[in-house]
Amino acid sequence: MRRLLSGNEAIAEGALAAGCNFFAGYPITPSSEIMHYMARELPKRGGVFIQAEDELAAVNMVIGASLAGAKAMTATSGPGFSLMQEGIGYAVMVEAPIIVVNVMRVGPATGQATKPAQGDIMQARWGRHGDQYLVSLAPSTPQESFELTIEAFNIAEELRVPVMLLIDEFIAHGREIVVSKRIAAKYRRTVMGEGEEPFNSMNPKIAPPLPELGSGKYLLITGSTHDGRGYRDVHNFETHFNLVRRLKDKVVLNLDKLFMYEVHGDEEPDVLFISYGSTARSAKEAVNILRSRGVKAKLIRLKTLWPIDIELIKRLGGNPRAVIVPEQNLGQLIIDVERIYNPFEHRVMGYNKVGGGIPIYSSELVEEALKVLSCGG
Amino acid sequence: MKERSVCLIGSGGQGVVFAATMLANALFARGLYVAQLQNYGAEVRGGSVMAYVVFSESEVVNPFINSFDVLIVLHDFNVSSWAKYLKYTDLVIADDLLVSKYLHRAIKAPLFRKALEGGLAGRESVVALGFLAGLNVVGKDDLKNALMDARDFEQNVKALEIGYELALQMRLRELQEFSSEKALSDSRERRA
Repeated sequence: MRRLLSGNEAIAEGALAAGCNFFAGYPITPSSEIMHYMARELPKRGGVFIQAEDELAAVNMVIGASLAGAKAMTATSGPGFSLMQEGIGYAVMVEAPIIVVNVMRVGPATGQATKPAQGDIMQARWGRHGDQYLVSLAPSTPQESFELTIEAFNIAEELRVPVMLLIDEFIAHGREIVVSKRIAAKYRRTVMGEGEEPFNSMNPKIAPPLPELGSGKYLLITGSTHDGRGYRDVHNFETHFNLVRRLKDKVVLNLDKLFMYEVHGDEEPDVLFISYGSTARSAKEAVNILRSRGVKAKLIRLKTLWPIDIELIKRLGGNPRAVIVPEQNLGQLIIDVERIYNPFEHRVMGYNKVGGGIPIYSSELVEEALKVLSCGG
Repeated sequence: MKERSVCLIGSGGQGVVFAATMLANALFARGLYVAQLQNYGAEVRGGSVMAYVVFSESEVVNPFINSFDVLIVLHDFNVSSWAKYLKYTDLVIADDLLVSKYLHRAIKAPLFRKALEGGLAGRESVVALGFLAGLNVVGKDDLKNALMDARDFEQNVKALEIGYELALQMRLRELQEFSSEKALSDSRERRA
């Protein structure tokens, strides 16, 4: 079906298409439309919608529902995302497949409510204490918001890991054409069989199975270090080390499957843009303009912000004279890009602009690229 | 058909986002690719609001633009934020009562006064939509169809007609280089 939808509506549609049947949330602009949509649509489909008393309750309800067998999601924005960190860390530890949508707005704190930004991408990755690995995705159109939401549910279910879906207010409130498709196969978590344990997996790439509610099997859940059966063990080195290493491995060993991207432009570029989300759309147009002026240019757009395949980016990017990383923050993804392109050997520069709801325009990126290239080096 | 764009600037409560939504829906119903974006603050009323629609026959690669084919200013509250948009846009239409800043390049139009006279205060954005139809940016009937999904259909249609007539009276049609209806019929011929 072809419709004119906002990014928020597209996410809600994607969640429903993926089989989401539980949503708990606390309203916050610019994410509230997701909640409105789910409040209206979920009860019609036999799902459950709860307006929680706050974000902490919302994320914990989602974890509980997920472990009880639901496909569960919540949505918030920066201030609510900060409140949810404790729950997200817990979800990593108990391996609850949950989806947390963060419609990024200008921060820190209340910031400029509710202007767009891309300032939470490092928080999504590292915002909690302890070693923890999860997946974060960043769509750049309402159409992709629909598609990556489905993908997020599949990843969460398959790897028993929280998936962060990061969009900014431009995409969330911007309306564009979305073609929704029926999803043939929805990935579902593995159900625990005889002799299997809910927190143990022989293959580090594969997440352990979960017992089905009502099957008579026990599921012990604790945020403390636990063994394969779920029993607390807060003394032994091996138990903890094996657990956190397995939690890391199931994400990083599936890098080839999790790292999604789009490449646009010349094979061997002189100027390479690396970007994501709404900003990547200006970068894409900038690449087109530069190429029409005879400059070899390329864009690598990341759909997955974590985990990142830095070797693949290095291979795709070639040997550019300049690397520009446009972001609606003061420079976050560029930290990763500098792991790929050594700033002592390459010209690696951010193009940063945030606040007031003013996007990064393609003309600015073209100007920046031409300026850098004309400087030599 | 080249990519086209229309921008509306006003104050919270004037219906700027509503008008952009109706415009986007009307163009979408015509089979065009549409991208609608807006910028506003946390206020319900009184804040500065900007909304725009980019439309084309093919997919809009990048909707983040800072110059438009037509820009209508309904209120000059904090309009300095959008000074660049006003500078880069060729055809700027400004309400003759509520806008006094940045008027040097704008064509004055009594959008708000006409709405008031018709007993339709607060619907000046719908008058602006009618005005756009009068400029041939969008079909009047397409707008009417779009408004059927919204509240107060009759009053909105009245506002639409007022704006349409105003544009015809002001003979601005000649100023407009493009006509989306014409472009559409051309392209339909090409496709056939």
